[in-house]
Amino acid sequence: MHIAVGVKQVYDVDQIKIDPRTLEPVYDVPLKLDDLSRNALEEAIRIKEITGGKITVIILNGVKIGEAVKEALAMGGDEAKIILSEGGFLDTAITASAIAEVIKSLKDVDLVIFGHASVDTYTGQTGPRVAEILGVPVVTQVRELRVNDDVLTAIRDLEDSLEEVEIKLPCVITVTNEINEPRLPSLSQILGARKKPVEELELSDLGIDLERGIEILHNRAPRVERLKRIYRDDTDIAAREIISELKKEGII
Amino acid sequence: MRCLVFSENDDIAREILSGIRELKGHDGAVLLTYSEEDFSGYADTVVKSECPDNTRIEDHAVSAIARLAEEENFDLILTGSTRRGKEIAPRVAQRLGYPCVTDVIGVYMDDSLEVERYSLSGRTISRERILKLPAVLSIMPRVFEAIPDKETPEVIKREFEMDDAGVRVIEVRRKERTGGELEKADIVIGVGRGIGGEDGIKMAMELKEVLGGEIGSTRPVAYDYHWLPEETMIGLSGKRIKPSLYIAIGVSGQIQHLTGVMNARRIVAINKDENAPVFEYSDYGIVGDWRDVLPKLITALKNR
Repeated sequence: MHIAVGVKQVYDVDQIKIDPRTLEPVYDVPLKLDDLSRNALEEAIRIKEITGGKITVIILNGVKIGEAVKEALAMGGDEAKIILSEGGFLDTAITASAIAEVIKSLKDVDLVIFGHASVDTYTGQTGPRVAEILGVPVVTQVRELRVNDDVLTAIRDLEDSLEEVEIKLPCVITVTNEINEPRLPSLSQILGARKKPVEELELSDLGIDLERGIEILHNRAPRVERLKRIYRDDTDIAAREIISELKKEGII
Repeated sequence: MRCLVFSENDDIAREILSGIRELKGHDGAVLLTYSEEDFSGYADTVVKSECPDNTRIEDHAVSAIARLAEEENFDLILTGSTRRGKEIAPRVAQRLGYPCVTDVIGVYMDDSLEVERYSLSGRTISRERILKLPAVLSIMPRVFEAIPDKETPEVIKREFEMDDAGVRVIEVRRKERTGGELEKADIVIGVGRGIGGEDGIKMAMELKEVLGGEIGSTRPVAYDYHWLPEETMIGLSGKRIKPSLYIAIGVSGQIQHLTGVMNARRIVAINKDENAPVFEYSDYGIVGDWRDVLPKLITALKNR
């Protein structure tokens, strides 16, 4: 089975600081392979362990790609296709078109796996859009996956229910955090990753429409306007005063 | 501005239909639904359809929305930003060649259409301009308030032909429930990893009973330790709530969780770590062990 995994390189969201004056994020933090990309890749590796085949990692980024690709190959990707862009914001339609073009060029992909969203932008659009471009079925929010010949059985995690479905291959799947525990590559895998084939492609060479449908005007932290009355010493007084304040405000 | 609205969640459908009325140039809305509700006061046209057995709502709705959009020129197609809605919106957009923004928390129409959504796991709000219409938006729950107006909808029953989606539903199982509806509760007690286990949950439940609220949780509590059902999870990938009061117990304050409670009127935090980020987002905070603090709160409440 040939599995393509769409991965993303992101800033470590938990480490990003907010500039208190402009309220804008300061991006002087490390880049890493997105958490849900790891889940997607781990699932591909587990399937390959049963069915055999090949895993192609596809990544698109405007910023310098380094560790994320190495890590994906160390985890178990067999080859990588890097789509280089000149930077700046790409909307999801462009991202999806670019990834779909690469998948088409691979010709024999049976299964495409993405994280259901990425921690930075969390749009969740890439997987569904790629499926529409390729004209294949898509199932999002998968937390359990089984492969039997050319049919997949998936359990989807919806808000209040679990939905079990069967999907015909080829198809696109997007996975949740719960589907697996991504492995940490061993030292020999990390060293071995250097020898794996990596191809770089220019976004502008893919022959896709690069007109944006969306423009980001600004991206700022909301002002948190909370009272921040923190009691550090006497919990008796704290409990009484807080209840009394909430009562005064008509909240309880 | 003519809109087509779909959500498999009737409450969110009503919220969206109410919210878009306020947009400049609003020219009525068509609602696509699988529900039995009549939506009177919310849309001028209600297209009722049925999703065949073994067919996913997503696959049927994408085909139905694309067909309706071919028949009538809509400027905006809106879905609820539920997990189903978040699959439907980008698929419809891709099929029709439209731009799409998911998880929208604000819609503004002036010379152009602008929207807001959370970014960086909820740490920032991104303001985005839609450069061409028509467009597709998926709208978060509770962004708008459902308020009926005068519309008496024309109800049209329709079947939509669809190609083989390649996906077959085998079974839908309801998740375990704790009781009430978290999203509608006026008071929510949220527990985090710091609650430690069964004993802590029991005491949090006692506080919940005294206050008459519902119980919510963070991701570790629901998904890693299973101290509470998964459907109690609040946050970026869980429920987003808007209660009058949110009491966070043993919640450290990861932004992915706090995003879900940002719209609470008052937030009270109890945590033994005085540096816990949750205090930055709280109106009232108590630095202390819940074993000490909760009984005191319960007593103070009983004596109020």
